[in-house]
Amino acid sequence: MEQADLELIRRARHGDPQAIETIVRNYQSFVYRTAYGILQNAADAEDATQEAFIRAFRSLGRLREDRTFPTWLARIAVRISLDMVQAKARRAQDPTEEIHGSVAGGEDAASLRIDLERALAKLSPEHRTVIVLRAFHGLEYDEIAEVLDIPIGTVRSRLHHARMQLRMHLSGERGDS
Amino acid sequence: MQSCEFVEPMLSAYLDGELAKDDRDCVEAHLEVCARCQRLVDALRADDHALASWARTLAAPADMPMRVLNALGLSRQEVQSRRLAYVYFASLAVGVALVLAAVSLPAASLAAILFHFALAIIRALFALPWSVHAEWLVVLGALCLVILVLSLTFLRRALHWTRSEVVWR
Repeated sequence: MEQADLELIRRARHGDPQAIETIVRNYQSFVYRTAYGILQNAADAEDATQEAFIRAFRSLGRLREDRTFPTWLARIAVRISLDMVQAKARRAQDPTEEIHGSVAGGEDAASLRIDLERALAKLSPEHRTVIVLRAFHGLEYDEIAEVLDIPIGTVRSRLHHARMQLRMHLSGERGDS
Repeated sequence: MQSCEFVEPMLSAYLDGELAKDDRDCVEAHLEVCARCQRLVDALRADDHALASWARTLAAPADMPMRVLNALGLSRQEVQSRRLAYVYFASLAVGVALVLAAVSLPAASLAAILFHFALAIIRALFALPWSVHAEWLVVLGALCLVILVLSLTFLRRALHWTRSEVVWR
């Protein structure tokens, strides 16, 4: 993290609205994409994003190392999203309900996105989470381990199984070999 | 050469550059002769690219910072109304301090004289309507009082509306 980012976190800790606004702008895509990847639903992802920031700023005083803010925020976003997945599972909602919404970028891109969403939705929340952290954000294995609070070896095997299952589902969707 | 069953669990880490040199060499040697595993690696790589491209199209709502600030009670309206409250309470504190100072300091006797003087003027003003048989002044005064109370009530509501209003920038 750069010095300017650390200064923003210090100001946000003292309740500076400008600093909070800037931090949200800087990290909102990261948090929203994480939440969307896990929840597979735009409305829920928006709620999770907002909740993650609120929780983060309210407990910013407990963050010991400001440099770990991105990892810490990711951990909060993942935890909130997984909690929402569990709550949704209890309501037995169809995870693919939003897939047929408007999609920009032509028919092929739309079709590919629908296939990806369907395949991703078939994975377990834990597998979706590692896929999102790695493929969406390009986090390294040690960073994923820190966010999920699991050993690196578990990250490696979980990512392997997640990718293989995703490939299997995508082959089923697209008729690949 | 190692079998596909041995190599396959390493392909994901191979793609991510997370294998030790020995394991990487082992995988690469296998991929050179195994078209099936090579196709699998290519497909996994394509899946990653497709996921990353898709992720880039996902964007949080533009008003997310304002939503968070509102939820934290740090929107401009909240801050302004809080500052207004600070000014009010500061004025109140200064007023109370002045009264206490006036009572406790030697100059309190002067304040007492001024108070009795003001009281006499107020009594005279109240007695004036009856002395000149102009009760309408009392009615006018009561009306002014009602208008004052109403205006204060509306001012309070206006401040409340300002605080709860959400302005999207």
